[in-house]
Amino acid sequence: MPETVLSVDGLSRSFGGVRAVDGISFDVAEGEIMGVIGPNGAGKSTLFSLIAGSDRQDAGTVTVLGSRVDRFTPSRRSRLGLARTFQSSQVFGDSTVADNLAIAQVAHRTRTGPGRVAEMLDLLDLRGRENRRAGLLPVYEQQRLAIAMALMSGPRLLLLDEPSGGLVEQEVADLGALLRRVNATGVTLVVIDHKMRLMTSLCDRILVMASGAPLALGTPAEVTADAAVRAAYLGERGEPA
Amino acid sequence: MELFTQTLANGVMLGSIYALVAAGLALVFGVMDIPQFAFGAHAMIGGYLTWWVGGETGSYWLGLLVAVAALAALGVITHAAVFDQLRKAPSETLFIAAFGLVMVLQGAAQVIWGPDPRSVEEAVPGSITIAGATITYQRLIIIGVAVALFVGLHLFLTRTLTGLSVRAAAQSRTGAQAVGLRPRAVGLLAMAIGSALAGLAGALLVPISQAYPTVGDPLAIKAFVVIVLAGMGSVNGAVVGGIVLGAVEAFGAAYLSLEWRDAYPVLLLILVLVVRPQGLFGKEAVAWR
Repeated sequence: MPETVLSVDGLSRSFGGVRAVDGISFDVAEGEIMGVIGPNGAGKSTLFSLIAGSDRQDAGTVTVLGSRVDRFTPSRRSRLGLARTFQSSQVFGDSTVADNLAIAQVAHRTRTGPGRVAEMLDLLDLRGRENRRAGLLPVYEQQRLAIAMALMSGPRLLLLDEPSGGLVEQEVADLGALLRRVNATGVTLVVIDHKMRLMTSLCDRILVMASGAPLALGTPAEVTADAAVRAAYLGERGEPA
Repeated sequence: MELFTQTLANGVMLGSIYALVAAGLALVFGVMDIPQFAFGAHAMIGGYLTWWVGGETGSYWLGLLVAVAALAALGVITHAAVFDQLRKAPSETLFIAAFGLVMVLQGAAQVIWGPDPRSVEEAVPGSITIAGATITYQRLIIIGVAVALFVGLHLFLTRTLTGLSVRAAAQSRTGAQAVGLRPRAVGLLAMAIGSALAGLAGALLVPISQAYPTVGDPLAIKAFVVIVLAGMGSVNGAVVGGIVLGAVEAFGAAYLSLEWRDAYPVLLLILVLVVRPQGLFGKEAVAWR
């Protein structure tokens, strides 16, 4: 039976009177690709912030690879094997692609060796871009660089927040294939995205959130067939599954 | 021609000192948004330590090294005791804390060393004549050490993993945290470097300016003008801006009026801000461009 890489139990976070995340629980098994969908404001990015440690929950627990990480800083969670990318690219725009990857490895050199940069350049199709300034790269290349940087730590679990944001259709399809390649290297993925075609083709299971609360959790076929989900989300967005 | 060469040498010397303090200020502001005005007072302490250790041992250079090391330590202590405690405080609080530190350091200097100026012998007495201008060796030393420092700082920030991490933290704190860097440790390092640079500026300047409790005040003001001029947080810009400011001040004093000497940099600042509100090199707070 595969190891549980991430376990979220009863996670809640309020901002003033608004419950941004409200009693979310789920487990992610090693090697799995888990999706998180929901309308804007459903609490998806807040959920990621709670898991990654950039925000602190009001209630509930987060366990990564068997360790309770509730009180760990983001840096400590990162060293434990958790990595994330952001909705808006957090690459270091004034530095070159090669320097960005080197910086991303600084805290993890004991875990990943000197060949890691070359490995990531190949995996994320960034060969030939090493000396380009990251801030001048097209959106999709910046997104690939952000993923490569997250992988420099040699993580077991990668959280991807809207990786398809700003991409055209062909790039979204390419991204799906690329994420499967990343997953095949042994990295468990949790992905937030709005592009339903990408999510249903990529994910093993999908968690649907609405107003901070869990609405459904199941395979892509199960959640897209769920009447409550169709009413709350799919119907509203109108994009075919 | 003689006047021009003399003025240029004075301007570059003065500008090197401004650039040293401003580079540290830009680095600290870029990484942590802290307006560390106490770097002027740190330069003052650096001057006193050079006078004291140099006087006791008879070696100016030993005094300079002790000053740089002690100021790096003071930077770490100051950061841990004051700014790190205030890391969630609004920017106004950081501003006031920095000014408070200036008062504490000046008061301490007054109590320990008294109000009278302390003189330090030049490291290498004498002068050289270049294109008709007489330039003391001490001034050449200031320029030489500052240039070596800027080259070293540039190599550190662009060629070493630690330096790359400092630049990364300045560009995106969230991104730096996400890749496992410790922003607080990086901040501590930036503050140590900034304080050491200020201490070095004080140690280099003390044979020319003497040491007294308020000697660092004009340095702090000029360094602030430089980083606004250059674009907040731009270390490269701070170096260039420091030299430009020193030259403007020296040429204004020599060719226009000596009495307006301290006004020329501010007039230049106003002019630059009217034309380029983001400064000469900055667009936002960026540490190394």
